Amino acid sequence: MSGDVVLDVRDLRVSFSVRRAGRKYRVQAVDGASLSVVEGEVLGIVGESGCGKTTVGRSIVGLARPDSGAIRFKGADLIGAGGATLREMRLNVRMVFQDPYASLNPRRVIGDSVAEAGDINGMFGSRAERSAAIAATLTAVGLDPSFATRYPYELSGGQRQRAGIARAILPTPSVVIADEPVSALDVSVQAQVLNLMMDLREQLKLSMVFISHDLGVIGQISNRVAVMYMGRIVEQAGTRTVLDGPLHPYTRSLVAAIPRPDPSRRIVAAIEASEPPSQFARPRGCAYAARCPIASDRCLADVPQLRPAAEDGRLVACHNV
Amino acid sequence: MSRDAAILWLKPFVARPIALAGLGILLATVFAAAFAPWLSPYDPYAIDPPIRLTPPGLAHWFGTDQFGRDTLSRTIHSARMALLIGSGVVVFALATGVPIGVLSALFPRLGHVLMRMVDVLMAFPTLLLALGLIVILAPSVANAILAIGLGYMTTTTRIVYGLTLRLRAETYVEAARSMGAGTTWLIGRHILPNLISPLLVQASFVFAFAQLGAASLDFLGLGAPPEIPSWGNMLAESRTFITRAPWLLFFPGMMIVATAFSLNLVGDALRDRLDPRFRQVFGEKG
Amino acid sequence: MLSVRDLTVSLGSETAPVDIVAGVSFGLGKGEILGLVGESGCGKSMTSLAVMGLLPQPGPRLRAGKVLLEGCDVTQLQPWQRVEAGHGRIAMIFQEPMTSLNPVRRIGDQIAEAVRVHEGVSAAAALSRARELLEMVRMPDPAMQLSAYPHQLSGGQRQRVMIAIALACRPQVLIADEPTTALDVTIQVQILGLLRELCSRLEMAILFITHDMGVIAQLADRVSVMYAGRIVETAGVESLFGRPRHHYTRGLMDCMPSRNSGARRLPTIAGQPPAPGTVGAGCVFASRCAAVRESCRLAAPPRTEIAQGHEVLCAFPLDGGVAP
Repeated sequence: MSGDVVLDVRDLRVSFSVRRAGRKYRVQAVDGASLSVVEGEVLGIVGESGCGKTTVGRSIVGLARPDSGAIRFKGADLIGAGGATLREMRLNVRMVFQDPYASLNPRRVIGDSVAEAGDINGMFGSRAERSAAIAATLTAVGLDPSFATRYPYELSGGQRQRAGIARAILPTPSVVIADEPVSALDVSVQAQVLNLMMDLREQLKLSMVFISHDLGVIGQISNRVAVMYMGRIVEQAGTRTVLDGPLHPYTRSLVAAIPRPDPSRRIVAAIEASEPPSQFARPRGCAYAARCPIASDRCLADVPQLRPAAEDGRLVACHNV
Repeated sequence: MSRDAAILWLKPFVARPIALAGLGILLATVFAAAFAPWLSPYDPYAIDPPIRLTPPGLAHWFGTDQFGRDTLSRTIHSARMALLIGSGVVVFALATGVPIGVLSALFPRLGHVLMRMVDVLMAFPTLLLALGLIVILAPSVANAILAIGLGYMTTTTRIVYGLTLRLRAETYVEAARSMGAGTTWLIGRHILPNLISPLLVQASFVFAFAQLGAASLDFLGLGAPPEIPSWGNMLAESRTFITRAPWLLFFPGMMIVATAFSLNLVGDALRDRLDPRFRQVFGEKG
Repeated sequence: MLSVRDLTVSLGSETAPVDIVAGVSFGLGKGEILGLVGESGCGKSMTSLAVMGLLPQPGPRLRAGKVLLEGCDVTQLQPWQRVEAGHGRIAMIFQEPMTSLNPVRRIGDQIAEAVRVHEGVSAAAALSRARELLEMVRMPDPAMQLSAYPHQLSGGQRQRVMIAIALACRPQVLIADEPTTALDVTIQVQILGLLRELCSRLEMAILFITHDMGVIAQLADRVSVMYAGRIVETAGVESLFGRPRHHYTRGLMDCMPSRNSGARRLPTIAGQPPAPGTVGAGCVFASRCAAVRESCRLAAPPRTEIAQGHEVLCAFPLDGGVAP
């Protein structure tokens, strides 16, 4: 998959101030992440809660304010952009949210939610044009056009998520940032929604950033994967490369921990407890060093940089692989 | 509103007979105010000294006061002043509280200043605040509305502020922001529509407490001019006759209690209607 | 050891009950983990609450059925009798440990309190037992954590504390309702491993409730699959995953991405589960089943033991193995 880079994120840093027990802390949610999305591809970002994957997505659509770095859409920098450039970015880079129950306004009918981007930017010439666009978009996500006049509470979780996807593709964008779009859904519904996203991607020639904690889902939909741990990307490569032969020790433990419907891989005994370090007390060297089976002295002192690890374009941030 | 929606709104009232009674009293008061000239058996201003301080009887159901005016007619006409003050206070509290609360939540720097000012006002008891203002502004109906309304503006602002902070963090508001929605869009399409229900509840409580506030001001002679019939004025004028003519205090007093109480019942029922747990019981999701 | 017979939980009035759990039966032996798997709304959590005697009030009620713990029907016991030693020693852990822990009390005190409720020992003895329990759940640095507050712990550590509290009553049966759903996968495997270890070490039975077929495959000894308030298939874990007989079980497995990696499209199950109360006389899965026949819509399918220890609620079960 070679083509033009549509979305390019360079050295993104985002931090939040958090008040805890009366003291103010600065939490570095994203600590120098770089990634790029090529036209037509799906880039998966995988990692566990608090690793910064959602913040990366929110920064791209302008919901989080980066401290530094660049976010370029077709060459134009989003950060600090205004006017027509910003408007074009907003319409071309859209987000699908995780919780289908919270992401639709309970007091607005589905049609109003779906047409929102167009309404905000005054894109519909007439009411008829607007209704036609809503109907076509609802049909595209597998909902009957009559859903336009229904309220969110009349819809099931899967139908709401379809409506959330419809909102993100009217008018058709170039890039969709999908933040855990299926993790709130039951498996059978999850499969339907994943199929829909794959279909839409093909029909509308979308590029996608697919954020998930579930490597199984990521493996299904994405071409390339970036693995994040505590605000940094620790490994980035083609999906099969990562899933079949993870290199970074964290990726290895993540791949090993995917629950698989395979009774031959039974869990038979307790394993040592190990958890990520606190967000408030980030270690000086590699953030994974304390949990890492192959950590060396250097890992405690130096932060490993993302570097090419093989000819196939795989990038790994580890001193010891 | 569809028929089903109408049924859902009525359910909390039907489920609780006492709330239905509250609604009944309220509607009766509105009816009395609207048709006061036709409902009243006598002219509320007509003085008839020979029959002064007549106890309740067939000719004068509620008796007469020290000038021989018919208490029933005055009680009915007072409903007008009660509703005028009540709605005036509600309108004032909402018209000031909603914009201040919404803007404070959306613009934290401005909110920091405005909400501290609201906190200062809140530190004063509502009636004390009203008394102070009336002393400065001189007694009149409009000033009574202003003085009482200021006290309820603060609570309304607080409620709106808290709700807007929560709404601002809702995913659907973020979704709109990510598509380039400006403040006007967010307020008009997402925040105000979601404030309507809780504000309806707040309005009914403000209306109830405004009744009590207005009665207190009237009683102290700082509200409506004494010649205008109002329950507070009636109490004030007849308090010297409390032992000789208790009916003069009983009927207006009853009306103050009844309207305030009924509004509270209606407010409670509305709040139940908006409680998600209640909705589950009645089979509405979301 | 634990035997649940024809458990039926209903909403609605006495005269027109709507069954959200309909005739659920299962047994659970010492040191065994039974997985109860199903999608949201299938009745799996209601089943566990009914077994615990914790059905929310007002709301669903236990309309029929027995919960026998070593021969004693615990549904007949008053709540205070359940606490007494020897009666209904069933403990439960939930998905979100934070809501079950008191945020302003130390971990040690909360575990010690549970110990004292059940054993009536001195405060000092209870605290030392609390420390033992924290060691048992493999809490790192247990002595230190006794004086920690819940917010100072991570999600995984809080779930360990909940397990310690559950173990304080020396339960014969532990009901775990989606205990790892809110946790990250690398933490999830740690908690699953812990449960497996406790199960064999303490000869405790575990009823493990989840929506995740992957978790169930790796942890359970036997599996019951629930759909629309009924158990549609029960089997040993190898048998179930090797040769699923019910069309729903098969469908659930097929639509898991991790089983299909590389496929262009995921197989799906058409439609949605029926709403409670809308199930007619026929099979509950008839409306979504790819292999449905006319007779399925008319009469409820029989529960048949299709192989040793493998029960299925289907008139035309799959023969397993290869995909139909």
